[in-house]
Amino acid sequence: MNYLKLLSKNCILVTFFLSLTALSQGTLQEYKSTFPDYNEVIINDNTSYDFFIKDKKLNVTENSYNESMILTENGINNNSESFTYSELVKLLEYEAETVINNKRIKVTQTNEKESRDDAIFYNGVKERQLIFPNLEAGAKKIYQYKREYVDYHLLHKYIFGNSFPILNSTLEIKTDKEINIGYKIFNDPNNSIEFSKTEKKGKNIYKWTLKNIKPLKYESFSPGFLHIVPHIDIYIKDYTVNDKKVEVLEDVDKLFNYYQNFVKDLNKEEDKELKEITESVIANAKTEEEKVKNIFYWVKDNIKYVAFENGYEGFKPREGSLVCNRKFGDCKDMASIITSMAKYAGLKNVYLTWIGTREIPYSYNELATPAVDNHMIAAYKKGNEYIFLDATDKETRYGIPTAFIQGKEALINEDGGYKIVEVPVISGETNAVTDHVKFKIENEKLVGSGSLVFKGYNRSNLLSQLGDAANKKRFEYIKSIVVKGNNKFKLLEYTEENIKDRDLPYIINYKFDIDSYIIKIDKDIYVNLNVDTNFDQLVIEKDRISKFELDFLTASQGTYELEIPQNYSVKFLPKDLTIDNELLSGSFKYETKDNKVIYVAKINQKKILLDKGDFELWNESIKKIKTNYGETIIITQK
Amino acid sequence: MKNTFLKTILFFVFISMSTTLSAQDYTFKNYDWESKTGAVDIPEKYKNETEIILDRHIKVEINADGKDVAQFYLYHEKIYINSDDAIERNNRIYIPFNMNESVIETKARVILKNGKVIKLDKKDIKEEVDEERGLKLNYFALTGIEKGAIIEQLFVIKEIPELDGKTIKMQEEYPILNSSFELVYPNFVNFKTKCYNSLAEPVIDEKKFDKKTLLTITEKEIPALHDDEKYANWNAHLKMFRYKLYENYNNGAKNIYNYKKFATNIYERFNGELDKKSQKAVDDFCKTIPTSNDPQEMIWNIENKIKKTIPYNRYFDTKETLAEVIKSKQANQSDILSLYIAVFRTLNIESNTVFTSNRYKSIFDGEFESYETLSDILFYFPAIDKYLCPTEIEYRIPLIPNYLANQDGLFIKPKEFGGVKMGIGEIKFIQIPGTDITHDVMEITVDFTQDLQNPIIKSKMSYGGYSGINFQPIKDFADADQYKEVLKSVAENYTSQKEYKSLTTENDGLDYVGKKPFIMNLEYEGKDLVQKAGDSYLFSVGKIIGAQMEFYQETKRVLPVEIDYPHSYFRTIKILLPEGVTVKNLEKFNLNFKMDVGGKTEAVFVSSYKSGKNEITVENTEYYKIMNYPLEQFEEYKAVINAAADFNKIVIILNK
Repeated sequence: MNYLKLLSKNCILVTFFLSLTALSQGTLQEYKSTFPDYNEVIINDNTSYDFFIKDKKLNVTENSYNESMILTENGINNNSESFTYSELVKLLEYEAETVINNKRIKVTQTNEKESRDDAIFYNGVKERQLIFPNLEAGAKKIYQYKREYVDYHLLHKYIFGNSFPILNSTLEIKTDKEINIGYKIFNDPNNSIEFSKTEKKGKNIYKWTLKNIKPLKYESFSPGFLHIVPHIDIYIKDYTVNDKKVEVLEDVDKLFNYYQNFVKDLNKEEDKELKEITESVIANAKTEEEKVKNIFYWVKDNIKYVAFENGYEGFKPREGSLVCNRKFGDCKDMASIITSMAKYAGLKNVYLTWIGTREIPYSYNELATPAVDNHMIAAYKKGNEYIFLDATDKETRYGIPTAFIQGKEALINEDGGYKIVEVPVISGETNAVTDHVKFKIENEKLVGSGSLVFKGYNRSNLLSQLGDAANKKRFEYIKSIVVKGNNKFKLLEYTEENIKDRDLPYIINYKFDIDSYIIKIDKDIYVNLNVDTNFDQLVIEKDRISKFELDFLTASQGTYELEIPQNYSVKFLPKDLTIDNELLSGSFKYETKDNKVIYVAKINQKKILLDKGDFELWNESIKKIKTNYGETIIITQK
Repeated sequence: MKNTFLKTILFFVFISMSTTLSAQDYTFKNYDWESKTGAVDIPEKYKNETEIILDRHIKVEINADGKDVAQFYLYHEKIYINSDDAIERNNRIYIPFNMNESVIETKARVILKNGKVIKLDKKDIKEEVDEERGLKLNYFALTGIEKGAIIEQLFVIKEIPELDGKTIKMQEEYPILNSSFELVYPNFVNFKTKCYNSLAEPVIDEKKFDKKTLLTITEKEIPALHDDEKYANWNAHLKMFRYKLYENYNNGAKNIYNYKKFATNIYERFNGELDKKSQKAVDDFCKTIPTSNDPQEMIWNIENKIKKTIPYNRYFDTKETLAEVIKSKQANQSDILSLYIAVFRTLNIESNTVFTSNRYKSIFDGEFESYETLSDILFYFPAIDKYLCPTEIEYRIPLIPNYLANQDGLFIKPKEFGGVKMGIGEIKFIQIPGTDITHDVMEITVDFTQDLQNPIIKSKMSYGGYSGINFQPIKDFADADQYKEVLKSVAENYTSQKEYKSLTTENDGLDYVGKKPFIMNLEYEGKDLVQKAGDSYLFSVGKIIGAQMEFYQETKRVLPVEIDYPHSYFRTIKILLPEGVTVKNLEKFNLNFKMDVGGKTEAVFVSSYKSGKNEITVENTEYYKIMNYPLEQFEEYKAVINAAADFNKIVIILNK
């Protein structure tokens, strides 16, 4: 086990500002007593941008300065730092040194590597790794680098945070007078970020500083760090050259105009092959909607997700014909081929659409810059309703968006203009999971059969994980889904239904026995019919910082029928329970009917993103459910 | 100097020979895939496989021209794609090679069901350089793939010859219909080979090529070996082939790569006298190490000092002298070896340097002396019969990574010949610390005296050796919050809930690794473990020992069991009851499962109980003394494992 991996450096966007004047500095002892729980402290994390007009063009350069101190002997293993650059953000220069007792030792071992992102096959981003020598407690790692932004629309956000504490984090922007900038600050509810605007040598200087920043904390079910960490998005509003004002960014109109550069010439030429494919794909479709659906499913079935995102490749969708030929593409490519095929099918109401996934917390009107989105889909306008077509996820059915864009705004490229439309959050019922289980008691084992039905995201989520797993792997996986009671659950046989048909629920029919679950003492048999206890681990901790986010909502219903053996009768049935509040509803009901005990347990989730104010009610509800999980029925020999 | 690895720095030996061959020519220069791409016939029994490797042919040719020696490596593979996931697994191809090697040819094509062929466009090949590891990577995505298509790739790399031992794995997670491996070498040399796991023996042909020997292994229909069993060493059971250069008829050299020579060379290189500056630096360094009269503690102190002051990284630049290593506080593999050896010598501690390999990746085979399996370093101390691993910062003597133990290694020890110290090599077994060290003790008290529905449970859990090292180092590398989270999740395994009354730990941090067990004290309310049914209280007592591994539904075991390390547990559970409460189902605590291997009891799960006045005491002992259990005895092993899991399910019934 490599514990160093635990130090996962939230390499968020390491950023800048060249501080030439020495800032007030503490000693190792001072830092150690202030930060006894950390192996390293970042003393300065500064970024400085320079926006200036040169040769009648707007130029953007960025200086980044980072200074940290190793506080313990365990900290010496964090001996490498790195920064990235690419075709769009070019590296101009860099330097690095270790400073120990005021002695400077230059970093001589540095390596260039491809900066890999698991989701992207090729992005052309390079990483420069710096390896710091002579580290010991009290040693400082200092590095700085200068980069140039090729496209001033594509500035990076500045983040006040790291996995280590930061003493001082500063963003500075220096602009010529002819340049107007805009900025938005996020996650600074108490206005802790100090701001100043000054003028110096005919330039405007904007400066934001945040001091004594706690490290980012990882929490499960978190909507993502951009929802918590203080950060600033800056953008250029306009600049004037030769008395001519050039508008850049500020509102959605301008962002949309910028985006037009990437899509305005897309799919203009007819491609015979794709046209023919489209014709055969829609051959049996009777309605417009069926055509859209057939196209959508064809793309899902035939185009695999492989992303090439070098430079502007990250923004510009490829021609539908090329995507068809390659049989792979990224999100933009899939959006492109869907809209292109729709055109061949004679449909004028299927549009390219920009959207941010749920980890991006902004709306288009809040922040109208390319930082607002990171994804592209197609949207089909059916009457006044929009159907969102995201082919990047193979299993999600037509009619619902992918789970990771629920509740987000879509910027739809509709008939030369745009529309901002909110993507719905899909209800628990649409994603229902229902299980109908019949139990019998045989030789102190619980034996039976069940039928487990998955709809919506529960269906797609499960099937994309199952994939083509076969034989033992599939068996084990299916078992892990249907398992009940305890791990002595033995899956005897199973069948699956509707694996291929996205429009139908996925069903697992299974037979099983469970040993060592029921308890027989003298004349009594104890059976807890709460054999699926999925909610008991969902308690939210008191000191939680982030909101609590579910991937999607689920309505689950389990019906459990226990056949009462001959010569036995019911001695004890637990009380029923009902819960209903704005976060979830549930009911747990027992009844005796004929020779059976029938227990129906329902839980319906209602809210996908829980705010801090919701935590108490949520925990109260979970507590009730947990108590109910402990309820046991008793049957007894007559 | 750029980082290089021990094995390569030391032992790159040319086959220097007079010959007329040009090192640029190789016999498979004109090898190509078939121009015709007819339909394939998939045998009936493989029709349901998600992916079938139709052909896999590997050719390696060693060419020597004077001092110019080169190796050509050809890889040709045809895969039948029979599922969507198989497309995703195969549509991206990566070809890695070393910085000073070159790809001579890369070809790939997709043959569709309808016969259409889509060829890789060379301009779509991306090249990436990793300066840290000195590697290059060519990669590309294949276009047009659909289910039922065949992906065919063929590439040739000119590379540095691998003569000192190389393993070719010839089995996979998917069936391979036609597989071959060919080795071509000048006829003035000879290779030694070994086949593993019933791979077909090689055939030698000295006539096919002029002045060259051709060695061929051909296998048809190699079944898939699935890597889906718990506690198995999948890699060790694959059909595979090893080869190495053995003799050179021209100069009479025989047994060219052997462990004796390796031992002598290593010893000479690392035991020579240091330059003055380095010796001074080592002397000064040694003065900073706390001394101890206990030999093991002294070694622990040395290891701790080095690991806490001089970071190790395989890829650090090599330093000129040991003085530089100590000054720059950076050591790569050969630097770290020099440093430890110099310190041990300076402090008069007798040590052997041990070379071995990760048993889960490439098994060490003392009968086939290959340098390939000399990839990892350990130190052995004969006086105390213990090992130290210099490269893994979280380990301390006597603990070394378990994947480097329980197999043979090459031990290099000094021996005097006429007053001169020489290094001699010996193949010996690397013993892993046993159940006396990896021993967990759990003392649990369940107190029902205040509340039958909510007992107070106090657990003191002590984790020794390898189980302790799972936890001990975290404190030093994670920040306090992260550490707390880790401990919470460990606690959850016992409490079955998120809340607890108190959680304290002892002996955490690297300072205790190898010295004392990690201890966790946990106090929590047991209400979630009690179910009320009518007048009875059902207490899931079995859960308080933590979830146990199970093999309940493991039916057709294919690979023998190999566990990570020997381990043992001793648990006592004391249940305190209020006056007048009766308890039922106690007989479930009586469990007794044992497994004998070779006449010795090696795995056990035994449990029993005693009932006193208002008090029940349960004791249980569980251990797995050895790491390898024969396949034929799997059922017995399973019975022991499942007994522990059965314990988890014990519920007792309390009545007032």
